[in-house]
Amino acid sequence: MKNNNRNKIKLGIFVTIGLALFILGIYLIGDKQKMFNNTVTISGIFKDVSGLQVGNNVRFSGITIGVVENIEIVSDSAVRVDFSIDEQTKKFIKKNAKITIGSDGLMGNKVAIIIPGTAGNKEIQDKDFLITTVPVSMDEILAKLKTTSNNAATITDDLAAMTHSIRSGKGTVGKLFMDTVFADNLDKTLVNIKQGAGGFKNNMDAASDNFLLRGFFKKKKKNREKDKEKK
Amino acid sequence: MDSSKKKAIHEDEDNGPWFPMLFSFFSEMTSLTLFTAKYCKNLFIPPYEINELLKQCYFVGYRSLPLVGITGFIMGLVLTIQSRPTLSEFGAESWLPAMVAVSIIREIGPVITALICAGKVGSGIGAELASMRVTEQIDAMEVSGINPFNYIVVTRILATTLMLPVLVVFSDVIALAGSFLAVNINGEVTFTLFFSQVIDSLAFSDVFPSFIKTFFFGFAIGLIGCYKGYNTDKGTEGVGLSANSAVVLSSLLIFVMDMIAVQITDLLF
Amino acid sequence: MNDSNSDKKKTNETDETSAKEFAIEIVDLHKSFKSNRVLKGLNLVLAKGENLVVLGKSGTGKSVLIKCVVGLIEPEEGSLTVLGENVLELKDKKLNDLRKKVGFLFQSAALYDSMTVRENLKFPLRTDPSIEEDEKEALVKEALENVGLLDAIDKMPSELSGGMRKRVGLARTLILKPAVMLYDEPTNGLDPITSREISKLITDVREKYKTSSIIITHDIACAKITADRIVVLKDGVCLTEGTFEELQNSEIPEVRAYFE
Ligand SMILES: Nc1ncnc2c1ncn2[C@@H]1O[C@H](COP(=O)(O)OP(=O)(O)O)[C@@H](O)[C@H]1O
Ligand SMILES: [Mg+2]
Repeated sequence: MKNNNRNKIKLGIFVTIGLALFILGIYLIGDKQKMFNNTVTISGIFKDVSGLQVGNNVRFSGITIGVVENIEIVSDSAVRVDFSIDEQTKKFIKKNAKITIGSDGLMGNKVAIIIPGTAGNKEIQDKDFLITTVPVSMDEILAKLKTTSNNAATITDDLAAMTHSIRSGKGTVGKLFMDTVFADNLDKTLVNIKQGAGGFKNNMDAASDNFLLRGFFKKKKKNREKDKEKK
Repeated sequence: MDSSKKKAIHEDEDNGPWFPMLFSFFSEMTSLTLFTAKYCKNLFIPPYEINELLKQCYFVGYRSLPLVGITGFIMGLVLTIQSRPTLSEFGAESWLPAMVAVSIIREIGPVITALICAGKVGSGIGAELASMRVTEQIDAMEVSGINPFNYIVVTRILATTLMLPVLVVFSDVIALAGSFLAVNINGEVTFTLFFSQVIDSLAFSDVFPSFIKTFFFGFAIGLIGCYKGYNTDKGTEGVGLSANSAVVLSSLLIFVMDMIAVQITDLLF
Repeated sequence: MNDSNSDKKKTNETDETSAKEFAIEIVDLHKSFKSNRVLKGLNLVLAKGENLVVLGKSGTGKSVLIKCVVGLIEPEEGSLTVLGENVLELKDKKLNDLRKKVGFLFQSAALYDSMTVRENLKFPLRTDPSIEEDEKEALVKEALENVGLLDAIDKMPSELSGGMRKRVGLARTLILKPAVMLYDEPTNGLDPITSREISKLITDVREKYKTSSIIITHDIACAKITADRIVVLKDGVCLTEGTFEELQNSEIPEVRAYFE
């Protein structure tokens, strides 16, 4: 009989601990999903949610602040997504904040990302709709990445050929870099040109003054004479 | 028993060797179904053997904890160590706690615990009931005006049904502890980080379906153990046979149920 | 055989008024297991207060017979009246009530291995809410005292010898104060001295509890001590019946075989 009672107590402890662990686990997981906290719901209309699912996280400045609550197709080109968000983070999200869809690492789950609005705007309210930006799909990223890398490959090829020519002293630029005498000469020439150009400019000014004026006056005279003859 | 079976096969040779096997399969299915129906009926009719139920819960639950705990711990440890190379190949070693947590909670915890219990509890029930049957203890209960089905069968099936989920909770938690140790063998991960990664990776849709299926696993273990033991009719030799076939059949049933559970979970979540 | 059966039925019908005087009345009982016909139209009556010994070789269906009496085995044919009630028509509650009035000592004693002797004895009382815990304890002690095993009260069945197990089994059936006792080979596997003790105990039980009993055995020494009347079974029917002395002088070879 005594033994029996002791066994019952052991059983009671066993079951209690088991249940406590289970409830604790449920609570912790629920807490993460913000199931038991105060939340506000905001929505966004997307053209394409790229595989976002109910239960995916919502990130703000890299912090998980809520979950995707519902996804619903509203027309042939619009999907409405509701997000439930921790009420305490509401004050940081302004009315002109944007929502986009990204992913958690290269292969991770989809996440909704809230891009903060600008300061000075009002904070969002429950049942608000936020502006959405088109999420870039993985395929597009990969396609872009491909063309970019193709371009990069051509560029580097050209670059390699060019540097090769330059190094072997071919062409003006090559000489420029490789032939020191030429560079010296060039330097001098440039100085001379500079000086010559200065003198030339003065001469030209004077000359143009003279010629132009002369020509100008001559034409005027002729015109005047013609006018007189007509009269 | 063997000789009688052989004889039966010889007698039915005209119908081909398949006939007796099919026949015994279907008659077994029928009597198992009837047994289950009787359990469901007797569950609700008095007398309710509360004391015996608690005693059986103690044996099934508390007494299995050490075994379940040890296997759970090793399971978490080994799974983590074995998954590390694959994950580090992808450079995703930091995903180790999350991945291990999901596999333990969803699949490995419930199934391994159920199989361990099928081996320990299922065979125990099969052998115990068979020896009670052979030594006429069940008849003795019946003739003293006590409903042996309520006293022996209902309490045991109920005990395994209720205790297996509790054992699985323990097993899951201990397996995660083993996994934490394994993660820390090479590479330092603080407990807080491990814990938050594990919790982050789990959702209700991981926990609830696997929790619910453990009730069915427990039910299967108790049901098959009791069915095989209660209906033994081969004398002393039948005790070993009952224990053996109880383990084989309940293990098989656990896998079949798991397959169905996965399908249903897939459909609903 | 058919003729004799119908004869018996007729006598039975005429005796309907006096049926109350029989503790057990079995008429034309048939039972077979698949192709194995065990009981083939057996007739048997047990008078009130009588000790009836059933003799028979192993495998003649003696155990099957008394298991039919308590409804553990369902016969295919025949009628079975125990303490004025038709066993074959009784259901759950009423059958259990009748079973409490019929004590059954199993061949193997059938003690509950997982319980102590005390718990074994208390077990049949557990469904009776009218009995207080103290009263149960007193009943257990009284029953154990009657079989002379009071000091084994806290032992487990595995710690008991064969004779002790039989006595504990007897005490367990006696605790419900049955009106009819069925003993299935009570002295089987015991040494002659213990056998004699058990046989004496059976006669004591009749004195103390005023029971009517069927004692199944193939032990002639036991039969001599306990029997008011002896029935010999062969091939599923009663071969002959009579007192110990009558059978001792019988000419039938199967009967003589027991006395040599
Ligand atoms: N539950 C059963 N299933 C099949 N056959 C049985 C069963 N019980 C008894 N028998 C058969 O009935 C016959 C009589 O058995 P039983 O009454 O135990 O003999 P005994 O007279 O030695 O007590 C035996 O041949 C046995 O094989
Ligand atoms: Mg027998």
